[in-house]
Amino acid sequence: MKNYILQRLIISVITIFVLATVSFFLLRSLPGNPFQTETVLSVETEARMMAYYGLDKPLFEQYLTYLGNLLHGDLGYSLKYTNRTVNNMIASAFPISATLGLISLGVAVPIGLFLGIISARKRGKAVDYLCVFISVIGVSIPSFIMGSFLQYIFAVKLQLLPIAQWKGLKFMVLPTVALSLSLLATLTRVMRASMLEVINQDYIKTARAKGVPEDKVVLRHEIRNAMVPIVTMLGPMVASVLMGTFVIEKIFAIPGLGQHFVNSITGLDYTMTLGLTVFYGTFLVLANFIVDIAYGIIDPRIRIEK
Amino acid sequence: MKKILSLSMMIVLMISLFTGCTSSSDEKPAVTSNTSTNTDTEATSEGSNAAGSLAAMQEFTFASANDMMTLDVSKMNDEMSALIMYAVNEPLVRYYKGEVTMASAESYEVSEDGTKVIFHLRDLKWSDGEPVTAGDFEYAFKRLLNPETGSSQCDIFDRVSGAIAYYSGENADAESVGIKATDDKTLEMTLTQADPFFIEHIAEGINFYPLRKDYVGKYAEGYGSGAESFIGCGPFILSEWVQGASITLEKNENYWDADKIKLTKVTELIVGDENTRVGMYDLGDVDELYSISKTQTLNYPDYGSKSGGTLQHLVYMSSEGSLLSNKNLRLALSHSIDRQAIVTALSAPGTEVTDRMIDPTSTLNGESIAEKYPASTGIPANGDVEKAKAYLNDALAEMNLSSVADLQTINYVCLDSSSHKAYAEALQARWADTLGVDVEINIMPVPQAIGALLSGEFDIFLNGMGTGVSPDTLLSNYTFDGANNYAKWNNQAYSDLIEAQFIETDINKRLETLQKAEQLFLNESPVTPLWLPGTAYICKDYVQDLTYGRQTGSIEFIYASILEH
Repeated sequence: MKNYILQRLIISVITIFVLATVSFFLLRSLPGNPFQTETVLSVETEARMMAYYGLDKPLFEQYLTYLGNLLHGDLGYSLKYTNRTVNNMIASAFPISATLGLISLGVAVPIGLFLGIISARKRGKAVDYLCVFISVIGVSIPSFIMGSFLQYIFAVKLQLLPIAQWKGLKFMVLPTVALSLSLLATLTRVMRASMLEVINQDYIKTARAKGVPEDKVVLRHEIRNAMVPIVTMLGPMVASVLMGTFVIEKIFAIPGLGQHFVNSITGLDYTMTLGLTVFYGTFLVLANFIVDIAYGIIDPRIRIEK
Repeated sequence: MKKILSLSMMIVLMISLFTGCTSSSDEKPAVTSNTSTNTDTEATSEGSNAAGSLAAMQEFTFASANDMMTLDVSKMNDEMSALIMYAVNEPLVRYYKGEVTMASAESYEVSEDGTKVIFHLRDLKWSDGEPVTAGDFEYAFKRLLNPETGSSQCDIFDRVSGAIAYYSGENADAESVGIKATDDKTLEMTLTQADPFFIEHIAEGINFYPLRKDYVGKYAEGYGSGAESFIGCGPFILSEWVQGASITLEKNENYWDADKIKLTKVTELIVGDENTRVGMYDLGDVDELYSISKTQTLNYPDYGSKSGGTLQHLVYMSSEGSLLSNKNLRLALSHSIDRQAIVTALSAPGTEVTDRMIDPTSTLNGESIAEKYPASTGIPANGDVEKAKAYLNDALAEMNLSSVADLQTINYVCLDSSSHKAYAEALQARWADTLGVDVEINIMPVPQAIGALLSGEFDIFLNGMGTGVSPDTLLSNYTFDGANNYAKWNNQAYSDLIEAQFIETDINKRLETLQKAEQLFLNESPVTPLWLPGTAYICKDYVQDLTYGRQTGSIEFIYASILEH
């Protein structure tokens, strides 16, 4: 087990290094430069700005500087938000996205799994159809429609909840519902499919034939085995949800990370884009690492040799 | 049976979902009593019930789409930052309702030959009680020009002697720059030559604020990146900046003109989504939205609008050997455009069609420059298809082509924004219908598109640029082999005229020379002026004395007040 963890750690570090390198060169191969906006800067000013930020140096030299800073955990200054460091911007936006993400996951995971289990157990019954209906709605309605719809009903018409912003518990309700609905829908579908597969396995029949009590069959054999694909999915899902969602954060005016992912790349803010990529990459690698270890706990068949 | 039941339940639910959505458009729009001023740049939104008494709560809230980038006065170059800086700091002079008004400076004098401008500061204090000195201005301006600061705004001081040499690194001696605090209350600026537009240039600029050296020293690179690392001396104090969410200002009781400031609190909410912004306006969470889309103006017929400050024009790649180096072809394209129809159908309210490169609102000593020195492309707002066809035939003959079908495809590089894409498609269709010319649209993200513009990898580019204070702002780019000659159009006679007007000291002669240059430029058509984009805004009727000015390019609220409502 120790060896396995060590091996995985080394692979993780290599993955992050490759990610940092590839994204650096891909990003820098894009035409254009970060200082040009719709109000065109003069050629002389542009050249001065490039020189000031060291962007006129040979690309490889810039790459080495960037890697050196990365080793110290320094992601540099944003090229757009003058005088703010990328570290500082991530530090102020990430907790907000993470809070929204965690609450939404906290709502979506139990409900999603529960609906998935119920709907598989009651296959073909009205309950099943209702669950499938909810998950179809959740998957197929894009979050910008769901978000606006919730705002319209609960904020504009009923005036029960604030329409937008992030200033306390009341403000969290609508974005949480909007975000968790789509997560819940995906989880329900996967859990239902996985449960249906497990239910028809021979070992379930064997367990029943042996006279194992029904609740034990469901809990220990069916659900536990059906959890494997869910755990696989949860790794990347947690990572992506905690990193913030562009659409929901925009609609509900939440100052999270989501907007930065989109705006930094369209504005060619090199440092911000790279900083976010490395941050997200590290987080994702970490999440997958935990998933790999969790497999062993859930499913003895995947357990690693000592 | 159960299946049918659950199925029908689904359908009912679906239907209720969709009807829920559509009924939103039936909602009555909130009524605002703004006078819809479609022509004035300095449109004020004085309510019709101006006689009403002031409310007890003088708090004003508005929403905008983007956060400000920085409060570092030396590096600031975006509208959102300018909007807040204007309220939390005090420039030398302000620009209010079309006039230069005194601010930090109590008065100013210009030497007889016009090359020395001397500002006399009044007694005013930073928000922590320290006095504001002329040295704070000198420090601010020299820090901006210092190459080690990395400001993109250096060229605003181009008329100041020694500034260009200092910021471009030719001369490292800051003392050589013509900005000097001769004592605590006197700031002297030496110009390379007389410039009658200089004071207005400062009044409309966004970087002419004082700066506290000890704050810059203390926060170094992080200066102005948050509420705690910034200090100002304006009518308001920045009390909170929740990045990406909200900006809160409170009245500065130490402000020299505090009696004129009615508002005690101003809040800017940053809300990226327009539907959400409009929802907040309907709910009364915000009092004002200073930019709404054309679609939203249908719901708020009482919107106001403003224009000016920016000119959108087509740049034709006119260098030797390129397709549009043929003047008649350029004229054919320019003449065929129905600018009025496009503006009516696509542009934000307030957009004005134009036929020249000078802002119609620019003035000198109260006189309209545009009226006194006319120049025009001669193209009517609806275009002139007959003339366009004649020019096209001439062009084809000169290029030895038998029909328009033999003409190469024209490459139109378009910014990836919804308005630019709509314009591109409208122009493409127009040229195809009237002339049969084949234009291909290449949509690119902003940095890439600007890159194509600068490197000349386009045939047609729709460019929008600030018209500036000096009337030669746009025209001076197109000099022979000039670095910012986007059209790569090289005309010696034009260059000579631009050069002559730049060094001319007599203002009337200068403008006459510029007029000649402009007419030559319009006749040759390396660029064709299209329109001055406008903005529509909505505001609750209880907000009084809000102005939409040129200094910030948007809403200006420092003298606003709230009526009883």
